[in-house]
Amino acid sequence: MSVAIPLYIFLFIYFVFLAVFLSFSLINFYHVIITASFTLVSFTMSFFILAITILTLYLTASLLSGVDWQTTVLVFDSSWFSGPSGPSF
Amino acid sequence: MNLGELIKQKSYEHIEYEIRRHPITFIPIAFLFIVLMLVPLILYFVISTIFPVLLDGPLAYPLLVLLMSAYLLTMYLLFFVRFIDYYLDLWIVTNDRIIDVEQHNLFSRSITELDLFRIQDVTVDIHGMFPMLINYGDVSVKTASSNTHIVFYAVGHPNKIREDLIKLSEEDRKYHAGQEELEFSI
Repeated sequence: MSVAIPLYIFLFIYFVFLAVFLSFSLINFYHVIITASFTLVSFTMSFFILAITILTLYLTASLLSGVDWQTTVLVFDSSWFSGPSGPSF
Repeated sequence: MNLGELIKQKSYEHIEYEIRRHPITFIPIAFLFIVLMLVPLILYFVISTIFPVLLDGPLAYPLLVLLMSAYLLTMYLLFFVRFIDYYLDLWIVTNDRIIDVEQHNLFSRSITELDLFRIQDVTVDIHGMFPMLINYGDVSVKTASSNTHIVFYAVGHPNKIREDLIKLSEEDRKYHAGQEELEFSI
């Protein structure tokens, strides 16, 4: 028996992570606004974080552009626990 | 939202100071995150040199790129959270009171208020070589009641702040004494 999952499952997990990242970033920005701390310093820092985030996402997308996400990955195979002539137990 | 709305500024009140921690106190945090952001690069070079076989196969490349991207984004987020924690610790001094806005973490904030005329003691604490050279330290403001105690942590020009707080406190005390006399005469 073997279990294989498509590679795009990892991409979905990454998208879930991105959603969490986005919500926490918005909460941070919300804090800056409601505490009347939207100054040049906080704007510059927010802009800097936004810029490096976009750069990272762009680089990730360009590095992964050639990947075939339909490729399946073997996560479990019963033969891993058996010798060449059958189960060892 | 502006500061006046945040502190529910009274009609006769004007903001004298808006104090935050000295920027130098954020430099070690920034440096730590720069080092942490270099970790994936160092790991990549170590793995590609010692265990190059781990980077082979259809699974390794996309997984490594996704992991590295997620790691970097997490670092940016944690850095932003630390910045918010640093920048949102704020002390507002008006001609009537001191308001201490303290951001403990992303979901915890406390706001403390202290009337200027109640101030009994203002103490400055400057400890260490850098605080002494760059001129920053803690300013503790105490009242007669033991439960109200505000500390301005690592603020620039602490002695100037102490002098101004004492001056403002005396002015406010005179104003309140005048108000009480007026009430008695009526």
